[in-house]
Amino acid sequence: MTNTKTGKKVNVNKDMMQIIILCLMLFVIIVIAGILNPRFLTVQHLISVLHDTAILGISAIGQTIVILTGGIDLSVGATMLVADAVGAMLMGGQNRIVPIFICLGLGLLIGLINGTGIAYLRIPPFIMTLGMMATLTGSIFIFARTSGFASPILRHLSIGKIGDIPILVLIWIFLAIIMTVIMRFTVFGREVYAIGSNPKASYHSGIKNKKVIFFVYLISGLFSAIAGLFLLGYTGVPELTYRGGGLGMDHTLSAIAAVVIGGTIFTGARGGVERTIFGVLVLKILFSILTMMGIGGAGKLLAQGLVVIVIVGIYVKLEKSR
Amino acid sequence: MKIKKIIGEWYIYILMIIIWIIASMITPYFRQISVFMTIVVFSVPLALIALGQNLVILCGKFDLSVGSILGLSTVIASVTMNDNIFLGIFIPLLVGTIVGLINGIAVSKFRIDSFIMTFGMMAVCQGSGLLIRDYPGGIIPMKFINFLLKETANIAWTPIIILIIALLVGEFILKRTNFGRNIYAVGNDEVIAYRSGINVTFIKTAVFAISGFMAALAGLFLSAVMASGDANVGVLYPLDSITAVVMGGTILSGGRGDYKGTIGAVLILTSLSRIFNLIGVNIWYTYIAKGLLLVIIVAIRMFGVNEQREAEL
Repeated sequence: MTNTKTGKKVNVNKDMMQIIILCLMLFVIIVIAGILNPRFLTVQHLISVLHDTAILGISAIGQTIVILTGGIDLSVGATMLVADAVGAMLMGGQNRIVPIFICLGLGLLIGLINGTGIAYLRIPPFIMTLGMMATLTGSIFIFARTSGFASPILRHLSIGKIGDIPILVLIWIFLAIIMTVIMRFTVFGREVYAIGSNPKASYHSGIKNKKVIFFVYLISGLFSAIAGLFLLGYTGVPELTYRGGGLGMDHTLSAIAAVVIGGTIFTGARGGVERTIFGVLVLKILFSILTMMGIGGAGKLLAQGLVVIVIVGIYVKLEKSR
Repeated sequence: MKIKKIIGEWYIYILMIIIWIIASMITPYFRQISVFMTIVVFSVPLALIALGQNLVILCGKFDLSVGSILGLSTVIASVTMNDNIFLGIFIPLLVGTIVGLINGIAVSKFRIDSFIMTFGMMAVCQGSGLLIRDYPGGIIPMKFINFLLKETANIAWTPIIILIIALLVGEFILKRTNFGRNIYAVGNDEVIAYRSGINVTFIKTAVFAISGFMAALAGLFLSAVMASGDANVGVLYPLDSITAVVMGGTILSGGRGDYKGTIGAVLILTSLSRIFNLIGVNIWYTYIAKGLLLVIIVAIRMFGVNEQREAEL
C-alpha cells in the first residue's frame, strides 16, 4: 500500500493467479477424465460437452453482471422456464417468429420490474428477486399449459451445427464476447464496476447509480429469456419442473455457482464475464465426469457444493494475502 | 404516542388477526379448532428455523443451509432413531451443530461471504442426505411421535408449548442477555463492535452454530410429523424463514428487529397456505401471495428509510 506502483503490480499478479488456477483446474479435471475414460478426450465428446454448457453459459452472463454490481438475481431460472413454457405454448410446433419476440419481451418485462423495485423502490436485490421467483412460480403453474413444441427455426438454432460446431455454442461465444467488450471497454461497463466496488463513491463522482442498476437487471432478464428459449429449442418440449425450492431454482443455483467458481465475488467489482466462461466449463465438465462415473444427482449436488466452498476459500485466501 | 408505538411493535399480530377474521368469514371450516392445531403444528418447524435465521440476519448475514440441514436431520433420525431413541435425537442435533459451526468458522474466520458459504453447504448437506436415503422412508418410533403430537382434549399441547418456549427463549436471548446485545452491536457495525471489545468472531460463529442446531431441532420435529425421513423436505425453508424474518420487521442489513415479529410472520405464512387450501384455491396462488407480500412489505418499509441513503442503495 505504501507504493502504488508495486501495489498495482501485485494486483495484476493475483488476478493472473486466479485465472491460472482456473486453467490448471480445468486441465487437471480434463486429464483425470481422459485417464478414467479415454473416450472423454475425443473431439466429438468435448464438443457435445460444450453444447451442453452453452445454455448455462448464456444465463450465467446475465447473472455475472448483476453480481458485479453487488446484487443477485434469484429469478434467473424462473425467467428461463417462463420463456420456455410460454414459448412452447405460443409456437405449437409451427414456424412462428413472433413468439420468440414475445418471450424476449417477457424477459425484459421481468427484468424491468426487478430493476424498478431494486433501483427506484430500494428493495434489496435478494428480496426483490426472491419475491419475483415465488410470484413467477405461482403464475406459471396456474396459467401455463405444459404442452407445445418448439418451432423448427428455434430447434435448428439450438441443435443445428455448422460443420462440426453447434450453432448454439457459436451464439454463446458471440454473446459472451459482446458482453465482455461492453463490460471492459464502454462507459456502462466501467460504471457497473464502479458501483460494485463502492456505490457511494460512484454516486458522488456523478454516476447515476439507479439507472445503471436498473439496466443491469433488464439485461439479466433478457439473457435469462434467451437462455430459456434455447432450452426450449434444445429439448423441443417445455421443461416445467418444480425442484429445489422454487421454479427453476436449480438453473439459478448452477448459474450462481458458475459465476462464483469463475471468480466474480459477491462484494462486487471483481471478476467479469470472461471469467464466468471458465466457471461454467469447470462446473459442466465436472458434472459430465460424475455422470460418466455413474454418480447420480445427489453426488453431483454434493460435488457442486464442495467445489464452490473450496474454490471460494482459495480465492479469499488469495485476496487476503494481497 | 404510546398507542402508536404499541401498534408499531405488534402490527404483525394485528395483521394476523385481521387475516384470521376475514378467513373465518369466508369459509366456515376455518372456525374449527382443528384448523388452528394444524397451523400451530406446521408453524413449529418454521418458527424454530426462523429463530436461528433471525439471529444470523441480525448479524447481517444469511443462512441458506437451514433447509438442507433440516432434511439431513430427518434422514439421520429416520436411520438411527429406531435402534436407540436417545442416539436418534443426539446425532442429528450434533451433526446440525457441527455443520453450523463449520459455516460460522468459514464466515467469521476465513471471511467467506455467508451467502456463498451457506449456499455451498446447502448443496453438500442435501447431497449427503440424498446419498443416505434417496427416497422418503425410514421408521420413527411411535413413542417419539406420541410424545410430540399426542392430543389431550383434541389439542396437541406439546407444539403449543414448544412455540411459546421458542418465543420466550428467543426474546430473552435477544433482549436480556449480553450475547443478544452483542449480536445487535455486531449487526449495526462490526468495526465499532470490535473496537468496543466484543469478540466479533465468536458471536458470528455462535450465531451460525445456533442456526444449525435449531434447523436440526426443527428436523426432529418434522420427522415426527411425517413419521419418516426425507432429504428433500427442507427445500422451501431457507426462503420461507428469510421471508418470515423480514416480514417480522428485522432489517436485512442487520442490527434491528426482534423475534416476536418473526413468530407472528410465521403464523401468517402458515395460515395463508391453510386458508388457500380450505377455500379450495389452487395451491400455486400461495406462492404469488407470499412473493407479493414479501416485496410489498419490504417496499413499504423502505419508504421510511431516509432519502439521503440513496447512494448506498
